[in-house]
Amino acid sequence: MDWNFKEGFPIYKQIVDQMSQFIASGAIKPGGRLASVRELALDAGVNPNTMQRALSELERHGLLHSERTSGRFITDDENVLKKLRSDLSMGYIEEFFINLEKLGLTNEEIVWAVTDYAKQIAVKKGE
Amino acid sequence: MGVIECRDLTRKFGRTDALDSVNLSIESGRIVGLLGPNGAGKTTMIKIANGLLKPTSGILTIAGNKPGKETKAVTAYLPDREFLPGYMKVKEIVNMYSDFFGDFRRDKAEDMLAELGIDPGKRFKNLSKGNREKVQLIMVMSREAEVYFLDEPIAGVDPAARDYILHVIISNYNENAAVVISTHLIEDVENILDEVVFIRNGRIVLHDNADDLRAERGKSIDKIFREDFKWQADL
Amino acid sequence: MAGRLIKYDFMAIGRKLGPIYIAVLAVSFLTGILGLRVTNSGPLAVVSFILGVLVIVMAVMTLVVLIQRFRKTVYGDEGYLMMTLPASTGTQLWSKVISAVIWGVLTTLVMLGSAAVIILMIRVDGGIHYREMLVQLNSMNLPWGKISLTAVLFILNAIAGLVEFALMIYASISVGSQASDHKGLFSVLAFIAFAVIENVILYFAVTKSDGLDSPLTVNLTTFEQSLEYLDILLFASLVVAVITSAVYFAVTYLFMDRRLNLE
Repeated sequence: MDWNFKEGFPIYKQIVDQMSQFIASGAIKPGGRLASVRELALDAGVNPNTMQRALSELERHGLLHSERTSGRFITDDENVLKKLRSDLSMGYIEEFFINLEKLGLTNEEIVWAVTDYAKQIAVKKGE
Repeated sequence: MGVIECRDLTRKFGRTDALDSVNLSIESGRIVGLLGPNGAGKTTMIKIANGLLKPTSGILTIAGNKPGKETKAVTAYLPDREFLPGYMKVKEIVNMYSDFFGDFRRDKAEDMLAELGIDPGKRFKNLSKGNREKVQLIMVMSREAEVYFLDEPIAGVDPAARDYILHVIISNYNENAAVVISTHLIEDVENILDEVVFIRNGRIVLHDNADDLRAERGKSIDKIFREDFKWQADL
Repeated sequence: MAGRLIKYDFMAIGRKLGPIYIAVLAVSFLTGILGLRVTNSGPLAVVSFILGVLVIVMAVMTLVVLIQRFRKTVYGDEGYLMMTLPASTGTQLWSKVISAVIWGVLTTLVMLGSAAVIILMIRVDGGIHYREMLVQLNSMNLPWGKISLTAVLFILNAIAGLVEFALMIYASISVGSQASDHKGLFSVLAFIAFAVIENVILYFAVTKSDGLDSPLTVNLTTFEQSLEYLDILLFASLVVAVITSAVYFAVTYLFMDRRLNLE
């Protein structure tokens, strides 16, 4: 998996965020079985305890659940996944708005810019 | 009680306090960074833990025992220099470790050597510097010890080798063992640390969970270290 | 554990001394062959000379290799391996002493072997007549019991002497290791100091001991009485060697245990 850690933030939180994205985008298949803590830690280059902490939190959020003997599984509950995608989207939109506001755009200008951009993309795709 | 316990640990050299009343407790299942400038006392503490030095006063115990025959059987040490006999062939070194340490896993060592393409028939002194460092690490990490002391395990090694070494440390993780990594190269290592200990002039100035510290200070451990140790003069 | 320590010492030292042992024995063999034909003495002289040199080299090398091995594995970089092995300091030191004795004995045996090879090969004056020698020995009615005792005491003394010498060297190396620079020089100085102290103590012990002879009527009229006197001397010497060894052992142990100070 494509991990990308920034400095200055707790790693376990970054893992939670990034795994949420992997799950929301389907990079990790819903309902699928997760690799072991050790393998994930190795993959991410982090301490297994840190990975464990992150996974526990993801379990608390309902994104993962563990079967006692068979390991950890990604949720396939559509409601949970929908909420996840919507939460993440909101997060992106919020960040997006904040960034553009810093450039001095009003809310209307932002909406107009977005609509315009979407049209351009559609045209390009149509070509 | 932690698997490593220091209580008022003091070590003097002449009039200098290499360690000054150090109190430290490290639990099993943790990977701990022992961070500090040269001469801060890191190597002194590690030597005491390995029975190579005696404290001037105070106590250090490993799994409840003072350093000696029993603790050496469960402590694995990777010093920051070449310590294996140069004339021995790699496979002879594997045999030697197997001979002396009951917790040595020969199959693990042989797998890692094969993985790295190191010829067991070659004499240690004839290996490249990078390979010598890797062989030393492999020997130490192939032991199933209760405590590991790694003194500058990734210094003087190329970046790919560094990744491999960190990989080995993570994959070797065992909740019944503690790993203490003493290093200057904090940036490369900090992601694998559970806890960090800052030591200066023989005293512990900080001992915290790595992630908690990041949350608290909003910076990488490396940056925090640079901040805290900016003024090197005696405070 | 001691056995394993000795084994690895043996391997490390053997790879250095092995070749010279072989060289000495081979040249002895050659000397023997040349000695058979006492016609042309030229090559014999040359080879004998080489043998002489080799034997000296062998003796010196034994000493040097033992010193190096101790220094390197206790106070040098290999100390990081050796002194972190799960063995007590006492066991470590004992194994080093035993190694020294083993190689001291081996070197001596090779020297004797070298002489034996030559003697056996050269038949001077028709050679050694073993049969006649044995017959004569038997007819002399020698007190074999006593001779055996003396021989045993002699060998024990030799070994004790080896042990003492090895420990004296180890103690000197230990003292020298405390210096921050020129450790070798300080080791030599320590050795000299030890030797001086030993001699001073010996001097006082001898000069202050008048009346030591009284229990022994120095009456050496029979061979047996001479042997008895010799036995007592050997025994006393043995005791002294053991005590001195114990002192050097204690000194070395203390340095190894408390003042290791690697690097």
